[in-house]
Amino acid sequence: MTEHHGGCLCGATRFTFIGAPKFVGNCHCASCRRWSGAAMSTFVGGRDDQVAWSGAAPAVYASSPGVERRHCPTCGTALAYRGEGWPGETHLMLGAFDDPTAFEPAGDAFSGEALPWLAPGAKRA
Amino acid sequence: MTKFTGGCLCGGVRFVADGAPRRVGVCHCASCRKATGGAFSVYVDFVRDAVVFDRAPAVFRSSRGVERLFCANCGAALAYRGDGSADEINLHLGAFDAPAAFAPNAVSFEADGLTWARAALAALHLENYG
Repeated sequence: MTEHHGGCLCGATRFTFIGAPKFVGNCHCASCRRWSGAAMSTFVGGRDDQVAWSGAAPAVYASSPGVERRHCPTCGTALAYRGEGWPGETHLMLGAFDDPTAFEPAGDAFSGEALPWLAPGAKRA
Repeated sequence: MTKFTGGCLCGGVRFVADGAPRRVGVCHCASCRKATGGAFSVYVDFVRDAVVFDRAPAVFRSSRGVERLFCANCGAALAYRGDGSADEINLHLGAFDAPAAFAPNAVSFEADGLTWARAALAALHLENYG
């Protein structure tokens, strides 16, 4: 089974993503934008059991009911999203992977909230 | 004078930026990709004196001469400060309350960019910076 490794900037928290993702997509929602700081967020999504965490446990912030966002408390790197809208899944931030070129987004979520200069150019499903 | 407000996701850290930004730059470097988790970062650059935080954000020195500011509670990425541009603070676009007020006009580390991300931004014809 393929494995993809990743982690935060300071190296305290690491993860291994096992197997093929369920999806790879961009999220344009305001919450993800505020949290990541990026114009749009790109997620590699899989089942919880496809993600093995090691090192220091990431900090967890419940940004809204049923949603948890994980980051490294030392360096601030945004690592993962888990939400009750996708039960049993962990969505990892593309930028957190050691080799982000391994994945390419196939679609966009919350396009209605996209920044105007990204809406026509972002990769579309 | 125009003021731009912003802050983190939990509201624990807020800032006000005065006046017009110097530039709005895309960065494709691997460090910025890790810092935001996104395919690329977008910074809105101001003179340091023009930006005031209501509470001191957490700071991480990601490499020599580089500081990354974030909220320790919710993890939101706030800004970059580099010794190489000591009079500037580079605020993450997503941290602003009204991010649509800015459109990128510069790009750096384009050669390090993800192929699909560079393609998505090609139509903007961004000027290389730094």
